[in-house]
Amino acid sequence: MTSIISPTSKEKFALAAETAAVSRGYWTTVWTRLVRDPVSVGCAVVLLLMVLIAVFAPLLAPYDPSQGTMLKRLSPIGTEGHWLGTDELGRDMLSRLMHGGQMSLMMGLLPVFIAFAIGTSLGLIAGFFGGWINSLIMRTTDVFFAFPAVLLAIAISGALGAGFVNAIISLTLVFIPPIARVAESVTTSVRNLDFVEAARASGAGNFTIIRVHVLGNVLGPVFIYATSLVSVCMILAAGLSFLGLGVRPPTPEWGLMLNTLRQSIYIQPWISVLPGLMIFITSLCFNLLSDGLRSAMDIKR
Amino acid sequence: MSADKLIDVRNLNVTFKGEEGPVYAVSDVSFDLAAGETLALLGESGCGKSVTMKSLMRLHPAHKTRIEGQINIDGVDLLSMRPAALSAMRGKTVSMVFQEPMLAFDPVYTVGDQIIESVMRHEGFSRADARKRALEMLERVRIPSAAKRLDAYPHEMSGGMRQRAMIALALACKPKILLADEPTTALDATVQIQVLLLLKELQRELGMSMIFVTHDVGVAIEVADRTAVMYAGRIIEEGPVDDVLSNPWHPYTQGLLGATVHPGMDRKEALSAIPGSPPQLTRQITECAFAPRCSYRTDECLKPMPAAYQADSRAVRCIHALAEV
Repeated sequence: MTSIISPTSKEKFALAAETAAVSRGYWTTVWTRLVRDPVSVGCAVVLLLMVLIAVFAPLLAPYDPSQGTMLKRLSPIGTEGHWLGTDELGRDMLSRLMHGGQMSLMMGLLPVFIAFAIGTSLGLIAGFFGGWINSLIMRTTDVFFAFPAVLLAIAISGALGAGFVNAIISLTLVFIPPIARVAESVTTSVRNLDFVEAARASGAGNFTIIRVHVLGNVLGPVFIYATSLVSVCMILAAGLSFLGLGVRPPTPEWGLMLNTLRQSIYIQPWISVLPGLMIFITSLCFNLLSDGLRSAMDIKR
Repeated sequence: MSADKLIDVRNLNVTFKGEEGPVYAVSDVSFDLAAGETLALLGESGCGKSVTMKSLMRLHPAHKTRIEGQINIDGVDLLSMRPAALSAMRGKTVSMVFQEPMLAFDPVYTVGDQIIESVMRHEGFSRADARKRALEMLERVRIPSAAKRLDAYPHEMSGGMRQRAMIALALACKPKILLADEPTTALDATVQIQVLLLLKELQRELGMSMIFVTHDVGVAIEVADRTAVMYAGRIIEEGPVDDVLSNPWHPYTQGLLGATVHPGMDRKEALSAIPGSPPQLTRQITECAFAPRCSYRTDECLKPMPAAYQADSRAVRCIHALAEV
């Protein structure tokens, strides 16, 4: 009888060979796959550079972003000393773009991050408990879906009044419902899987199951979704600033710069386009990185 | 009920509140299990085997299920237990091995982590001690290079190895009762027998009782002391496994054996199928549920069923068997 149970020498050999090939963690595998994708790596490098430049702008920028001379208004790109030209008040464009990254990146990331935390929790609770709790949470978030995102952001911002903090709050509110909805649908599908029942059968309570087993499986897909929202958020934030509902002048911010340079578009079209180009590159990179992350995490099980 | 019974189930009824009315999944099921004993719940798909098993741990969602009757586990009334006591009992007194080892492990954590979680929960061990116990268990279920496997993810293991790991998880807290829900069904035939023998051996070593759900007559003969044959949510025949399967009393058990390859059968004999299909359980069936498919059927069969007929530590629910014996 024992000969049947204990593996034969041939089996042992095969098993040992199998063992040697395994035992790389999930996240290690995801990381390896992500690093092998040139597009993702490229985007990550660009974004990292943007963040570093924005953070160290005070040290790197050649000029003060709010000091300008009327004599040098709207110098073209390539002017001596001002490689990216100057804006309508004669301020150095390069310095302003570098400093502007601080606000723009923050307004793109912060609302999504807060909404990720709140939306995931809401979706998790709604999806796990179901019933009237689900109806209460999900029908409330449904109200927000009645309005287009841009309109909602403008409406909330307008009601709260202009300013950086209010813009963050309004953008967060805009992103909670879609994140909650994704989290809820993933939770609902995870909740009915065998391993949740298996965890319950080995003595795990509701809290442990939500915290360990449901969250562990929901976080990945929701995180991917959230990264794809960063670009939308940046564009919305730029839109708010463009309308004067976000950051106030003279603070440098890409959306606001786009607005103030709008009148100069016939005089120096290329300079007017620069802040838009920055927004475009950043949001494109976030989108491509999010795509890369999704395919890296999609490991066949 | 006698104190030496680890499990004592009396008149268990499980009803699911479906969207199109109730489903009477388990009706009037009674059985018991002594310490160290193995009971095989035998029956085809959808006959209520797994539902009965899950009721023993109260795993059915409470708001969609009605459980009636009496379930005593290790002297405690299961149906009146509070949630906290219930989760302290699950995995400690009673443990379960699932049918699909791939689905029963959480894909985002290592196998070791999942065993450690359970050991820390029930034994109050530190993480390091729990890890030692997990390693010991993986060695005990004969997973090669267990130390490495502890940090492996479920998808990195083969089916047979995953099921061994599942058994290690179920036995990590030394339960008194192991519920095995078709643990070998999803495995290759060659791996099946290894896992079966492993389970039997561990049962002897740990002195556990075991309930083994299967639709495979051969598996039941291999592992069980006693067997209970289920049909349409009720136990129709029960007794020592050798007696029941060598001399079945109930027409359904006879039909089941006629439809399976089993030791001692005549090689020239063709396998026979039971005509028809099991009844829908959306109606409360009071008569013999097998009557529509039964070749011995008389008008008597359509009247409400009498209680099970008991003789020689066997029980059967069929009025004809009762007349015959």
